[in-house]
Amino acid sequence: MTAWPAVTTGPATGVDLAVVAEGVSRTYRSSGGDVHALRDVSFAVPRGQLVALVGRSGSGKTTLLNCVGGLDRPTSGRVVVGGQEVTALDERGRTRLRRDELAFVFQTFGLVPMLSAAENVGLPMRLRRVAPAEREARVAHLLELVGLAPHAAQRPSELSGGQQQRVAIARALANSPRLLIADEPTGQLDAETGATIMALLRSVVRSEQMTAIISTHDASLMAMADRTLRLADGRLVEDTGA
Amino acid sequence: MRRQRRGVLTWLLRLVRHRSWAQVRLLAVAGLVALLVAAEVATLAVLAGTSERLGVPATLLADAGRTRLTLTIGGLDRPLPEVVAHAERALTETLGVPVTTEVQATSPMYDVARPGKWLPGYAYVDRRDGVEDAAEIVAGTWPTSWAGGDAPVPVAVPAGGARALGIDLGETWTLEAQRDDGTDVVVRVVGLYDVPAPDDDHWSRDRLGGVGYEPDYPVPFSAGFLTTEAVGPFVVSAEAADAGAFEVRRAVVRADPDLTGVRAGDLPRLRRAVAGLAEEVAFRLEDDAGEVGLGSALSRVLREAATGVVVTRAGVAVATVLLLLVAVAALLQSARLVSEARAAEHDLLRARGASRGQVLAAVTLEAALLGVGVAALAPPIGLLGVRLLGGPLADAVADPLRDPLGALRALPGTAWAAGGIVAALLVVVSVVPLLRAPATFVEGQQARGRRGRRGSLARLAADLVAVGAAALGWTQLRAYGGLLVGSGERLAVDPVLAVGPALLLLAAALVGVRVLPLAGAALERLARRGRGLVVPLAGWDVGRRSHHAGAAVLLLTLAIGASTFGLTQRATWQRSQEDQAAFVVGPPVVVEDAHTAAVDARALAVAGADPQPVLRDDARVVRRTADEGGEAVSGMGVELVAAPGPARATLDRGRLADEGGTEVAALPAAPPSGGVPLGDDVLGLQATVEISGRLLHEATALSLRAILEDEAGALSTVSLGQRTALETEEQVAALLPDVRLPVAPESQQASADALAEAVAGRSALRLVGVQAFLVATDNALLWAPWESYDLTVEVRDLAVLRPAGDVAAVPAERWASGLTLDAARAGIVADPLEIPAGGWTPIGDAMGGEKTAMLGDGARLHFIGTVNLLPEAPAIGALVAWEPVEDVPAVLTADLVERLRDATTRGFEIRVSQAAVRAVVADVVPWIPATSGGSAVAVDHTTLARAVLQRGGLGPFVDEWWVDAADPEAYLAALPPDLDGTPRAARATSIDGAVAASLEHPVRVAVPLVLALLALGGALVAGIGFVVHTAVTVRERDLELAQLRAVGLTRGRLTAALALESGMLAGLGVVLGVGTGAGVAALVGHLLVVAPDGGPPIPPVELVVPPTVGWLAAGIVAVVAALTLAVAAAQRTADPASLLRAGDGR
Ligand SMILES: Nc1ncnc2c1ncn2[C@@H]1O[C@H](COP(=O)(O)OP(=O)(O)OP(=O)(O)O)[C@@H](O)[C@H]1O
Ligand SMILES: [Mg+2]
Repeated sequence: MTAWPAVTTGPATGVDLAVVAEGVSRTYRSSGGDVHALRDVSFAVPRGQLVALVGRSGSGKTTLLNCVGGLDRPTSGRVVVGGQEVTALDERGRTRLRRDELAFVFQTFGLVPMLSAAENVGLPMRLRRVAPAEREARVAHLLELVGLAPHAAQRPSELSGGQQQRVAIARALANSPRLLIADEPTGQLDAETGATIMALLRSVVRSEQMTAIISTHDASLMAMADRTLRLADGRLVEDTGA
Repeated sequence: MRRQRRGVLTWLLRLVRHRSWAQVRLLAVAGLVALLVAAEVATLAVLAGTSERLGVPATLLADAGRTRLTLTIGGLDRPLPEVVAHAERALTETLGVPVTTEVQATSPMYDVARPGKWLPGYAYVDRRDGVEDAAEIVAGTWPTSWAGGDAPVPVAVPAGGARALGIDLGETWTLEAQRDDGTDVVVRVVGLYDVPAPDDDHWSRDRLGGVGYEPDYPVPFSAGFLTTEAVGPFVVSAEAADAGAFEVRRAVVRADPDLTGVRAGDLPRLRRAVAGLAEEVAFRLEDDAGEVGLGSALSRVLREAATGVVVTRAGVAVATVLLLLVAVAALLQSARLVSEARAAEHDLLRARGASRGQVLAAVTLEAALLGVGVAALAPPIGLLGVRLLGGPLADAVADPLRDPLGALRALPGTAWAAGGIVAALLVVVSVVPLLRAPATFVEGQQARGRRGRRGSLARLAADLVAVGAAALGWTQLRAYGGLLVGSGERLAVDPVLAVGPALLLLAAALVGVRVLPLAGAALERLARRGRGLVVPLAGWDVGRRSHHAGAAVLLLTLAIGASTFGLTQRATWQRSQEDQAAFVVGPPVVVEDAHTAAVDARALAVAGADPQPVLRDDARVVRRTADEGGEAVSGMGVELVAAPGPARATLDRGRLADEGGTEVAALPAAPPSGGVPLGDDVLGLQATVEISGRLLHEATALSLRAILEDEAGALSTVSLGQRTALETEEQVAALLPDVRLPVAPESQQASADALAEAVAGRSALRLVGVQAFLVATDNALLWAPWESYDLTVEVRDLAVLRPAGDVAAVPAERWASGLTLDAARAGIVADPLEIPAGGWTPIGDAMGGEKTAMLGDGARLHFIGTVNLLPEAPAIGALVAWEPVEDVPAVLTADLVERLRDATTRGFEIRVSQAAVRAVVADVVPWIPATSGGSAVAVDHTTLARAVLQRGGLGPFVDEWWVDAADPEAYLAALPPDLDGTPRAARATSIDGAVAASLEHPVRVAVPLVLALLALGGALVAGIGFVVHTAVTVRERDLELAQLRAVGLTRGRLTAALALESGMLAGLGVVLGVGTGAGVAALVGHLLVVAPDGGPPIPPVELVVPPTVGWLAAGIVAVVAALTLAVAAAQRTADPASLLRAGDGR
């Protein structure tokens, strides 16, 4: 994997930036009129930072993460991830970006129900056609990392919510992404489990030297994060790292 | 109370409407499948009903000759009118249908004086109802009343016979009784008649076959070696006959039953009546006559009609059950998908307090509403379907668009029943999954999570039951031996036969689908070791969600299997009809024509064809006894096919070749003969005959014949008369048997023209032999002591009679009394023949070798020996221009060889044309083409004819012509009418024509349509079912797919994985479906194919898997391709972000 070149544009010039958002707006057209989910959001995240994205329900967190991750396209504005302008990429480019450069962790875990934990973790590596031996070694390593080695053969329906989310995290790490995007990873978990998941996330982000943007309602994560971005009504109202 | 009930109903209705809206598409598909199948089954019902309505009368009324009952009554003990009245009543009452009758009563043979001849002529008297239509009066009138007593009986006499015997209009003749106790009949000739068409059915029972005059009528006890002139019938009026004008030797009552009102349902009763008819009539006429015989093909015709009905019904039954099986599978799939899609909704309803009964009621109501629609719409659509199919059946049903009410009223009850059955299936199939549903909300929630061992055990048990039932059905069907129609008691289709194919298909499909998990497992193993994702994704889905995939493959297998069965069975059925027609007909075209060779060879050689003379006749095969005496011990009737090489070569083609044609074609052809060319304008022959030496007895006669060969190689003989006088020279002349001189030509020119016309278009002839035999003319000789004889026959001054071509040479007054050979002499030249001495071979046990030879202008035959002249064993001698035939090589059917036992090694005899020829087995085959499939013998035409002539037989050797026409239709169109002016094409049969007649016959025409509909229905359900499966499963998995895309799976690869998965399932379904469908057709298909009379077809049914099966597979591939495109398009518009946002909460 090549090192990311320094981003030469953006407000924080000279710093190695992982994510840059410039004037990002997202307007949904719906039957009840236009919904301005994001309004002119700008920020930059340097490499290696763990950012907590907070805000009330409906404030636009998911929308922002989707726009950063290339699952959604902003109505206006620019998103640059690792030097690649996501907003300028076509569908194919964004898919490649998701495959090679970043990884998602969803509130609903997003595991493929018919596959075992190990197979779910191996999915991203199959996308990159990693050799089976290497793939299996890394899957074992990752499951070890998230503490699920004994449950490798179980399917999602046979795992608890917390275990499922750990599998999702292991899968997210599979291709050693530079950027981890997690949308309320603890949303469906009880407080205690949520805390362990958050701890796990934090430790893997640190150990793998990733950049991470994690949306949450969880105060404990805010404490763990290097920086907090707060959204309200689609506007960035607070940026502790700015 | 009432109010409340209405409240519940409205609630249910609202519920139904509400709920249906959510799954409206799935319900619509279920309804569509049900409607499709119901409409198809209704179409089948209409087809079967229409086919019966048209087919039964078409079969029964096609040929009055075949349904005619011919009652032969001999030894009458009561007056003719009484006996006839009794017979009529017996027939009408037994059959239960009105009968119209015609009576033919004939006298014994009488002698009629022939001045100057040593044997009297023969004549007989007839009452012939309807003779006015079957003959033309050329002079005088038909006889009417008879004064009775000693008054001469007024008669009409055949003109040709009258001329030959010198009988004239107005003359009174005495017909002398041949038996001592008989009475002479005195007749007065009031009319002369001519028979334009002797092969008319009216003359079939006439002694002389309607020709009126026979110069070579066999004298009793001479076995045909001695002949005289016979003339008849002398026709008297019905009243005269009834008044006892002559002794009735035999009466023939031809009864035509009126079968116009007979329906399919009447067939069993009628068949029973006909089966016992002969006995019943004989019983009723016991006091009227000594012997009563009944001849009729009516039972065969009824059997054919019943066979047609049962075959069509069986086809419809099999197709219906298969369609219903496919429909149940498709409806189960829809119902399962609907109930899965609704599980949450139902659970919610139940959670809210709706009772299980209410949920059930709602679903039932909904299914019932759909069902009513299906049941109401299916029959009219079925009617439209039949009209869309076209053909004779389509024209016979009312047009529902033009006359909707009339069309509905005319719909058979079975069509409505078909709709009702499918509707009921729809309801049952919709409700059954709910009945099995768990009792409580929580159980339901739990049940959906697991797939228990109990389920798979239950499936295994179900599979085993299906396989067991199929095996049982199969053993039952094997015992059938291919007979659909029994002795005719019922028209019902055996339920085992109706259900058998469906059972076999189901069992094979269930077993086949078990391959699926194995395939999934193999793919998974591949996946574990592979790098990519596309193949593993497909493999995982097939292997791990195999209940979904399995249901889809099962439906595909059943539907494609049913479709393949339909296509295969249709092709097999059609091929068998073609094979059967080809087998019966033989060559591309057969022209039946019993005229002698000389006329036909050229007349039939139109459109570049080379017609071949063939003898297809009943013969007897006699095996030699163990001691070499040659006394026959047993003879058996066989069918004989004697055809020349080029004709036999036409059997060495296609299926016929495999069924004996090759062996028949391989029989050696006779080497060419020598002989003397006579030219192509031969009217007859003339010679001087002298017999010298010592005759055995006064009551011995010598019969002389010339043997001629035509261009086609057909042999025939011309009689040169019978001689008794020794040491006298006599000039004899004879016309060729088929040369007809006109009656009373109007002018000299007309006479000359008539002579020219008599030779026009004739084949060139060659003289290839002279044949003579010595016979006893008196039974007294049978007891005479053996004596020796030594005599020489000389045939000198042989000359060919040809038209002089010179009008002036014909003096006008010579024609006045009609054109006889003597009278015409002036217009005919006798052209002396020069005969080479070499190239002739003497033949015959009694021939004294060196004195027998050809002379420069004739032949000398020297008979010497001491043989008693039994009529069966006359002394025969011949000089022939061919290599004498020792044994005739023959191809025999296996069952004939079986019946002949060791005789095949010892040698055996074929008796045909009044001669017995020795034969040897050249080959043994299961069947001989161009026969009806029973015991048969095939030989080379010329070889047989030569052998018969060597043994003193007379022929004729041609009763039909085989034409290897490249374009049979063009050939038949080019055929000229025959001498009587009747079109020859009417007597011609082509394989193509026979195939078309067989396939288009209303009683059979429904079968291929039924099978085509089955194929279509199966294919449509396969397509719809697969589309539904793919659509539903892709929809179910949209979140999963969105997640995969979020992880970085490109659209293209995702589509590829889905396409691979669909392709695998479809491929498996196609392979299993085609395999099981064709397999079932191979196992039981032949049971549905029978000969017209219901017996096993000859040649046996051969499975044909038509190329259309490939199109079926291609269609499914096209569906997969279209689905893939649709999925790809759906993925392009799908928004993974919003799907993911919706998450599990959907
Ligand atoms: N497809 C859509 N069409 C219309 N409006 C939408 C759509 N998706 C999201 N929105 C709206 O955009 C706004 C932002 O939604 P978003 O999901 O980003 O909020 P959120 O901060 O993630 O909330 P939560 O914490 O509840 O997950 C909401 O008001 C939502 O109603
Ligand atoms: Mg959200």
